[in-house]
Amino acid sequence: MATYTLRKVLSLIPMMLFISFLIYLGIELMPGDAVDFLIPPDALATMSAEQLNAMRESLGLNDPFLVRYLKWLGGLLQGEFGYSIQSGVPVATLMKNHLPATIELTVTALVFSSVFGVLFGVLSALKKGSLIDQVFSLIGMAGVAIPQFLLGLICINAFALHLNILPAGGRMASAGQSFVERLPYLLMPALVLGFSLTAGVMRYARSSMLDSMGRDYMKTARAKGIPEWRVNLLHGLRTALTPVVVLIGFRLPMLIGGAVVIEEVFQWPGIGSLFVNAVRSQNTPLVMMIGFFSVLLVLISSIIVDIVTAFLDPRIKLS
Amino acid sequence: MENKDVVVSVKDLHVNFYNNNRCNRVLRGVSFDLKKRDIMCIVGESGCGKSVTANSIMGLLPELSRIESGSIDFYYQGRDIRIDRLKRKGKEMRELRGSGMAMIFQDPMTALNPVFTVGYQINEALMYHNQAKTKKEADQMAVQLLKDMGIPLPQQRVKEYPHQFSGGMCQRAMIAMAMSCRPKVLVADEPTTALDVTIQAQIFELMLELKNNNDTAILLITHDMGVVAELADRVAVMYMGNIVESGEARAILTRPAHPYTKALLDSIPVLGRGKGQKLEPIKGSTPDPYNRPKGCQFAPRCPYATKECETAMPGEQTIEEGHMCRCFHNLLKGEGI
Ligand SMILES: Nc1ncnc2c1ncn2[C@@H]1O[C@H](COP(=O)(O)OP(=O)(O)O)[C@@H](O)[C@H]1O
Ligand code: SF4
Ligand SMILES: [Mg+2]
Repeated sequence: MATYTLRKVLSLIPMMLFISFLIYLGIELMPGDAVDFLIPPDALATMSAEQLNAMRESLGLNDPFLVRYLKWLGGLLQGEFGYSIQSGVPVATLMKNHLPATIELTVTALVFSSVFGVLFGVLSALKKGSLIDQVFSLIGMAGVAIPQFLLGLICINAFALHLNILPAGGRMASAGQSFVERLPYLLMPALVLGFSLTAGVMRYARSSMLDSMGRDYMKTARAKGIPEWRVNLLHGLRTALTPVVVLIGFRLPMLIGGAVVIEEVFQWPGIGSLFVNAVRSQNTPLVMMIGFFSVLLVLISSIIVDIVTAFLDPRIKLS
Repeated sequence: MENKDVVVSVKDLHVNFYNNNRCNRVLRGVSFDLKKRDIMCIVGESGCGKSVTANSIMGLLPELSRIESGSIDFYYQGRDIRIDRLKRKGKEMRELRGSGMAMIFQDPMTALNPVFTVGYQINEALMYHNQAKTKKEADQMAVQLLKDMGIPLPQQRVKEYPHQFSGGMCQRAMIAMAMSCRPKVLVADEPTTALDVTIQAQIFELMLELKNNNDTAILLITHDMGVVAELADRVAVMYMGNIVESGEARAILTRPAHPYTKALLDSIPVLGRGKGQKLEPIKGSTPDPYNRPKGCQFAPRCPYATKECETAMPGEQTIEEGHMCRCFHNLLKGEGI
């Protein structure tokens, strides 16, 4: 397994080079550049072409495309992430400030959706066709069908504006609050995000469990005379779990960039909103860094998924 | 209890399946006795209710089915247990399964759970039926069981997963699991259909050994008359939910009374019937269970059928000592028995 992991991690390097180049190219191909967004439109009218050019020169925007990419890459290799063109703040600092918020939000939503998704899905499968199964499948459909922003707005309207029991947005009332004090802020965005994620896990868990319940080994287990709960939860669920874990594993990349919509709706100061702004203003160093880590996480997740699957299913060999 | 050797007694068993609001009368009055140390074979084409019979005894019928009438008595530890009255998933039934009666299945490769080691799956049976007190004890017993079933390197094999076993090995492991609590009855539902011929022979060898060493009664389901010729003490021939003929294996094989039995025998080469046998497949196919013939179920395919056969299903007739047949014109009639 160690050699497998090592080989996989090494194979990440060329992949990351290629993908980061593509992202860089993507930003390059967008119309305009950072300077166009840096200067307010009314100020732009008063500036001469030389002034603008000097600014481009100082930001290194006049270098040829390839040179700029290589410079960025060189910086990355030295652990130098560059500065936000917009604010001049080091990208590393920005990431450090925004990442915890995103992780807090997405981890809560992922844990919530995984636990309840599996629970409800398995319950649905065990009680297939019953009222409870139908209720869950209805909830599941709602989770898929209702857009996150809409559900977010409805919840803000209901719980913040009308009932006034939860704050409408933000992450904390004042700096330095403890996790418990911040909990009311986290609750709504995490649950709204979690709700839409639950549906997927639930449907997956249900069909996977049903599949497992129809297998021959279930009958063998019953023929052995072990209790029904053990037949279902040990033999049935344990085998049904593998595909569900894969699904959850492939959601790990959400930890960095996945909650864009929710972060916008709830003004959650995370990476998502940072990223949206950075793309809008062609803030190349910031976009590159967020993009880079998102992609890296996607690739790492797939390695994790491989390892976990091999661990869960003895038939699968890492190779 | 008429005979103290009888372990399972099935009487006039009717089982219906309720599928898509339609009722399929799958078993239509099945009766037989299974005796200690006997191998009883149930033969018949597929779809005639062999597995349903086996599952009824094990309390493993699917949800959509119901025992309508009849009885299944299991004589176990001095008690007469009415299997048909027990709740299928209830505690009593569960405690019988695996300890009093055990079952092995058609496809050993899928019958074992792929994510648990073979040893673990054998241990489960041992622990739940209090054969072993500690996990360690169970481990040792599992090794011994695999060894008894003729699996080489049992110490190593218990730690392996089913996919590391061949089909024959899997079935041996299944038998090890089934025999772990020394059941009185072993139900084997086409245990070798998925295996190749040499492996088949080995598995049958093993089953004969088990029956002789443990006094186990074996209910062996098969659609292969060849298997019957080799193993069976007694035979029940099933067709469309009825046992149409039953009796001593020798009698049935050499002097079949029911046209269906004869047709089955004519369709396969039988050992001891000499060379130059003419093989003839059975004509036609089994009727649609929802659209059955009115009288004898075999009538549409039967070369001996008369008008009478289309009026009613013939009743059980004892045509000689221990030989039952359900046919208006049984083939032994002319012989003056
Ligand atoms: N799970 C099931 N659902 C619906 N019908 C079934 C089921 N199992 C068996 N049956 C019905 O019972 C009949 C007998 O089946 P079975 O006992 O499996 O036959 P076999 O003799 O091949 O073992 C089938 O023809 C089918 O109509
Ligand atoms: S009762 Fe008639 S149709 Fe049925 S098997 Fe006998 S001869 Fe054939
Ligand atoms: Mg069958």
